[in-house]
Amino acid sequence: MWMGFWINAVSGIILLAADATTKLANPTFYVKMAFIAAAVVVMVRIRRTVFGDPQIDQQPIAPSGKLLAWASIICWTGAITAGRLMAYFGTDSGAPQFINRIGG
Amino acid sequence: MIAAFANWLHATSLGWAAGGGLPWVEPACKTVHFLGLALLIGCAGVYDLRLLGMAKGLALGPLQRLMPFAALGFLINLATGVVMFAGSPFQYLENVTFWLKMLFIALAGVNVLAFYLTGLARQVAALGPGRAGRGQAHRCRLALLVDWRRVLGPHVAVHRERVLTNLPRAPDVNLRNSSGATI
Repeated sequence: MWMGFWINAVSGIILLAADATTKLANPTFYVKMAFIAAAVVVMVRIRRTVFGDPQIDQQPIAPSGKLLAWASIICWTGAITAGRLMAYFGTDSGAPQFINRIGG
Repeated sequence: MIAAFANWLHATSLGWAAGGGLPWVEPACKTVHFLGLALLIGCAGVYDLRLLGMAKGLALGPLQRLMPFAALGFLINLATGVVMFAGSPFQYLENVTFWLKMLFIALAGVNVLAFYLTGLARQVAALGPGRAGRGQAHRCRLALLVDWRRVLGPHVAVHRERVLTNLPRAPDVNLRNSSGATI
């Protein structure tokens, strides 16, 4: 899980470095970062409260655990959506090699 | 024949909407396509990694119950993919990486069919925690994992290619943001 996170963090920093002025001026970028930060906080809390419970396999997941799971799904979905929409909001960088309107 | 189909699809109201008639359709599809991809690889990939011997504490049978979610991810991507294709079909048809993507999706499909039709899935489901998959299942799923990687590469490349080859977008795509800048 953390491996996937770091692969994306490193490649994301490279993409950011390629066109930092435009991306840092894009409010959607900060929405994405906020979602990621929240998702990481949620992930750590899940690890501590849900997986830290020695009774985890003996009883159903507590409502607080389920709430954390939903929070995690919403945060990552929000991060993906905001990231994707970065291509459509904010100003374009103008340089043809950095067209940010299109992406995978 | 494919060109005729593409022209027909593009002429439908779906093609009109995705081609810029409704400016939000294309960004929405791309976003949902990404989420579908995450759902598909998130579920199928976890299963593949387990079959390859990672996280051996997990029983394979229960893990297989995630597969309907992977299938859901695939269906989401099929649907959003068709919509995006309808919007600008020739941007895809004239793109080699699009065909590579289709090829690898087909290979992944054959792989999944082989896995279930040969009974491997049932054998594997019987494996409890702590056991690695058998060699055959290993190879089958390893191939699948590799397939998905191949699909992912062109997936990004298809969308990038439009920039590189400077293919025109549908002329009526003219989103404007709040500050009035053309998007």
